[in-house]
Amino acid sequence: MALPAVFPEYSMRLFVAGRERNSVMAHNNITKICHTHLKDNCTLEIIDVFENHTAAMEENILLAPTLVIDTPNREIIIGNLQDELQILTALGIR
Amino acid sequence: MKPAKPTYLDLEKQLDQSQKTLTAIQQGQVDVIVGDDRHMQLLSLKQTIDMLRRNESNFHALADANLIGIGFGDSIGNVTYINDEMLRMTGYSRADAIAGRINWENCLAPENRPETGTWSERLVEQEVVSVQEWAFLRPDGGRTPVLGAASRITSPDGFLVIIALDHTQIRQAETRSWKSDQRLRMAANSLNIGIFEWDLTNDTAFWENDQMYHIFGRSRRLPPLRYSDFLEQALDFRDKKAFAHAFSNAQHPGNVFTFASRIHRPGSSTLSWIEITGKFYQNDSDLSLNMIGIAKDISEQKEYEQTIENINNLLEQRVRDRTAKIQHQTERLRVLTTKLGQVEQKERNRLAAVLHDHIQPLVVGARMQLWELYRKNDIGEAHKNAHKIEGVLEETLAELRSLTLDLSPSAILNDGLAGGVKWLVSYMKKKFAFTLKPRLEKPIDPISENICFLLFQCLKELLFNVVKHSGEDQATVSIERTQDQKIKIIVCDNGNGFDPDTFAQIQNDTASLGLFSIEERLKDIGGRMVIASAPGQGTTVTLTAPAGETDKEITPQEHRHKRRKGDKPAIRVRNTEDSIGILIVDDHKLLREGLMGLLQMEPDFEVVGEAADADTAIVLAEKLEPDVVIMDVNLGEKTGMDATRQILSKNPHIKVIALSMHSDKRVINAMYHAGASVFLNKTVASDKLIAKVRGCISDS
Repeated sequence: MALPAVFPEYSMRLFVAGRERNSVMAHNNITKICHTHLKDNCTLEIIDVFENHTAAMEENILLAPTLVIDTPNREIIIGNLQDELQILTALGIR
Repeated sequence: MKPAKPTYLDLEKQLDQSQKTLTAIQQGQVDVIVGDDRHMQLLSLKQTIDMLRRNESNFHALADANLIGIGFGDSIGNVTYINDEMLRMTGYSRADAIAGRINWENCLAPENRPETGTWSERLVEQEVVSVQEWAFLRPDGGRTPVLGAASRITSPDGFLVIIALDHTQIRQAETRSWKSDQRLRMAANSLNIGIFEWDLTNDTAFWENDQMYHIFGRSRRLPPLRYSDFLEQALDFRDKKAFAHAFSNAQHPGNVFTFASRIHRPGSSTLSWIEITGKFYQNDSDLSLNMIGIAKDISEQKEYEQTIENINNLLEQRVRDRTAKIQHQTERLRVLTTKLGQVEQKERNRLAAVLHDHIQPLVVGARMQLWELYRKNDIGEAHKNAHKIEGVLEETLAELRSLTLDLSPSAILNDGLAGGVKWLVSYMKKKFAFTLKPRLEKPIDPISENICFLLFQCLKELLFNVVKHSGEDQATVSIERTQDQKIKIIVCDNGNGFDPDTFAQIQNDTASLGLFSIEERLKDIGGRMVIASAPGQGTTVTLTAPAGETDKEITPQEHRHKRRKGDKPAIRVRNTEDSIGILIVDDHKLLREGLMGLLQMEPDFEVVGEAADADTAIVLAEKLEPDVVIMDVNLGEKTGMDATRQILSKNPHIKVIALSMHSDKRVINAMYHAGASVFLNKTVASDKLIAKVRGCISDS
């Protein structure tokens, strides 16, 4: 993903379980939202729990996929992120 | 520090989060619980099973699509799995497969089986048999050509896997293509031209027909001729540069190239001509530049062209030579015509001189004697004058005879060409003190009179040339009749000689013109003249001419004696029966009158009539019944012989006395043969004539 020209307004981390079905769906959905609603004014870090197990444990993330919104407000959303309204609400857009 | 006690709002938020988490889990939106090892292993196993299921699904999809034949076998070749396409190709049924009646070792055609052992054993050794052409031997005896491959596998269900692709249509297409190619090659080989195909980019030859080997004289064991081989080995060095240049310029797809050149054949010392015609094209697959062409052996054609060119050159040379010769002869004819005019004028002058210097004074002398005779009364003196006149006239006649002989020797009339030669011997001796040695091969007669005269004239002129130019005072002449009935005259002298080639170029030389004139006259009658001479080595000239026809030819004398118009017959009444009645027949009036005057002086003679031609003579002889007819020989169209014959046929008692200027034996014999009693020359003395008239009457 291209880096924003200024400090991004939205910062997120997505914890996925390899190429599992829900993890792939979650990745696709949040990417789509970044493009569509955030106009790429965001940073999204993907963390595979199969490869980096401890990072999830430190954040107390127990399920994958899980989206952690750091800014503007910390929010945690579990699942394949198919509920777009839920995510936009968490981001403070709706 | 103890953590802050959660507020209700915190608890409510945790609850809401927990509910959402639970919902997500219930809805199956969670893939994994982080940190649970057992779940991690299950997840991995699940992924493996899913992959195997997908692979199995893909394999079945491939096998069931039946695009290719797929089969498995155990370690001894028994089929453990076979798809429908492989069943079709091997010719077995599904029931055979289920019943275990199919073994891969039996499916393959014998020629595809290993020489030793089995396919299964071979796979143990090399694991994989790469793609190659096989044929399945079906239970019905048929064959299915395939492209197949086999591999050893490690599987609970089998030991080996075989895949095969039906090759039948490709093989059929290949067979059709091969047959078509064979037919094309057969047709190409039956042609009398060489056909080839070159890859010029890679300098290789795709193929060529048998005729190419024949044309280039190469062994059939050798590979097809490449362009570089053709250029370096076959092509003659004289054509190499031009060929390579033209070939290089033409090298473009679509261009047609034609060139005729000379080539060497191995083991042959002679050059051959070939013509190469080809078309350039680009190979679609590798974009190389190729050429397909034909080669023709045009050696014979070139040979014919060369022969025709040589013939043309020869003909042109001959035409040039002939034209030059004709021009040369035309020029010589022109000079000859001028010369002939001069000679004719010279001859006229000579004749005029003879007439003026010899004949005319004699005639004048005779006339003067006559005048003297008129004036004298004395019979005795008159008799003397008459005798002198007779002498003058005899001298005149002698001069005239000499002139006549000079113009046309009577010897020819008497003895033919042989007589003419004898006369020439005497004439040359007398006139030029030149010795002519004749060698006459007999018999040479008969010769046409015209030919005889012509040959005599040619010989005479030739001898004049010898006298003038040879520097010798003698020559030999031989005459013979050849086997092909030609008269050959050879004149040979040992004099100065000359170069005939140089001599022919001299146009204005008198001798050259004389010879040229002789040659032309001989050619005119179908004869020829050959000269053999060299400077200082004498000259031999050979004249050859056909003998010619001898029957019913008119002599020059006959031509000269045409009937004179206006001479009317005269009839006189016979006075006495006792006298000798005489009929005078002559085309010269003066001679008739002279004879009449002479004969009438005789008392016992009576001239009963006179006639100027034969027909009148015949009529008068029948009417007047004379005792004697004095008959001239040349009377015009009808001769004295004809008249004599007809007169005697009606009146056999009449005596005919022939009186002529001729001394030709043939004429004399002809007159005697016609019935004449006496033949007298007109130069005979009058008393002898009178005596002969009386004599023939008394004899009867």
